[in-house]
Amino acid sequence: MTESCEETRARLEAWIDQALPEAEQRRLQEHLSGCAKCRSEEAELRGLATALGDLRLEPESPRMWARIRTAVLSEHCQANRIVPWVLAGTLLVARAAEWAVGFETALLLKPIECAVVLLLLARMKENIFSFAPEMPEAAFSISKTSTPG
Amino acid sequence: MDDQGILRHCQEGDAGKFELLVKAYERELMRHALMWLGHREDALDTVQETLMKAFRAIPRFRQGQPVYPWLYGILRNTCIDAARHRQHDRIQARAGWSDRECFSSRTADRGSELWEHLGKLEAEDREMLFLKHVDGRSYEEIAALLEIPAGTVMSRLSRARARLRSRMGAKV
Repeated sequence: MTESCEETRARLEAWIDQALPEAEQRRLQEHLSGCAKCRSEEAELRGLATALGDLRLEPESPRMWARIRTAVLSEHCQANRIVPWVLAGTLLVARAAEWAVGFETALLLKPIECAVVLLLLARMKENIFSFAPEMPEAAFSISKTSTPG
Repeated sequence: MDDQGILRHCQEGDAGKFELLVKAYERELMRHALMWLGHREDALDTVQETLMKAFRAIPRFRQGQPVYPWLYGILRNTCIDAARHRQHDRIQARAGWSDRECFSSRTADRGSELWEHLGKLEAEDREMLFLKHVDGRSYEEIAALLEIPAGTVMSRLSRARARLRSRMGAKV
C-alpha cells in the first residue's frame, strides 16, 4: 500500500532534510513514482533547499577581523590597568587608617592589608606573564591594518 | 586545544587564549549576525559586542557546557537587542535590509532575489532557514542550539519554508 498525497507532503520535508527513517522513505518513493503532483512539490522544495544552501557569506577583510580581535582583547588590558590603581588605593587607605587610629591599633589590620596586597600582586604577575606575550601580535595587527591600502 | 580547554585556560588567568576562540567562531557568528540584521556594519558591531560580552562572562562559564551554543545564545540576544534598538531609534539609513552583496550564490541572480525575499521574513523564520540550509545542521543540532524540542524545529522550519515560498511565488 502506498501513501496518500497528504501523507507524502507531510513527510517530504523530513525526507529532503535527511531525517526520514528508511522504511518511510521507501513508501514515500513508491508514492512519488506514481504521482506527478507530489513530484512537483518535491522539486520545488529541493530547489528552495539548494538555493538557500548556495548562499555564501562574502569574506570580510582580515583588517576587519583584526579590528574586532583587538577591541575584544583590549578589554582585558583595560581591566589589568585597574589593578595597580587598586593596589595604590589599598596602601593609601592603610596609611590613612594608621594615621587616624594610631599605629598600634592599625597593626590589627595589617594581616588584611598584607592579604589584599599579595592578592593584587599575584593578579598583576598572572596578567604580565600570561597575557603580555599575546599583545605584540594584536598590536601588530593594528599597525598593519591602519596603513591605507 | 579544544574549545573547553581554551575556556579553562581563560578561567585560570590566561585570557589571551580567548583569541583562539574568536578566530574559530568569528565568521560563523558574522554570518548569523548578518542574517539577523541584514547590514554589514551593524553585523560587525554586533559580533564585536557579542565577543566582548562572552569575554566578560568567562568566569561564569560552566566547564562541560557546549561552547558554540553558549556563544550563539549571546549573539542571538545581542542581535535581538540591536534590531529593537534600531527600530526604536528609527535610524533609517541603517534600518534597511540593504547589504545584498554580503552574500553570493553560485546562481547570482537567484541568490540576490532570494536574499531580498529573506529580508522580508520574520527574523525567527530566517534563523531556521539559515541554521538548516546554510549551516547544514540537523534538527537535533538546531534543537540543542535553540533549546527547543526537535519537533518544534520541524514545525518552525516547515512554516518558514512555506512563508518564503509564498513570498517567492513558489518560483524556486
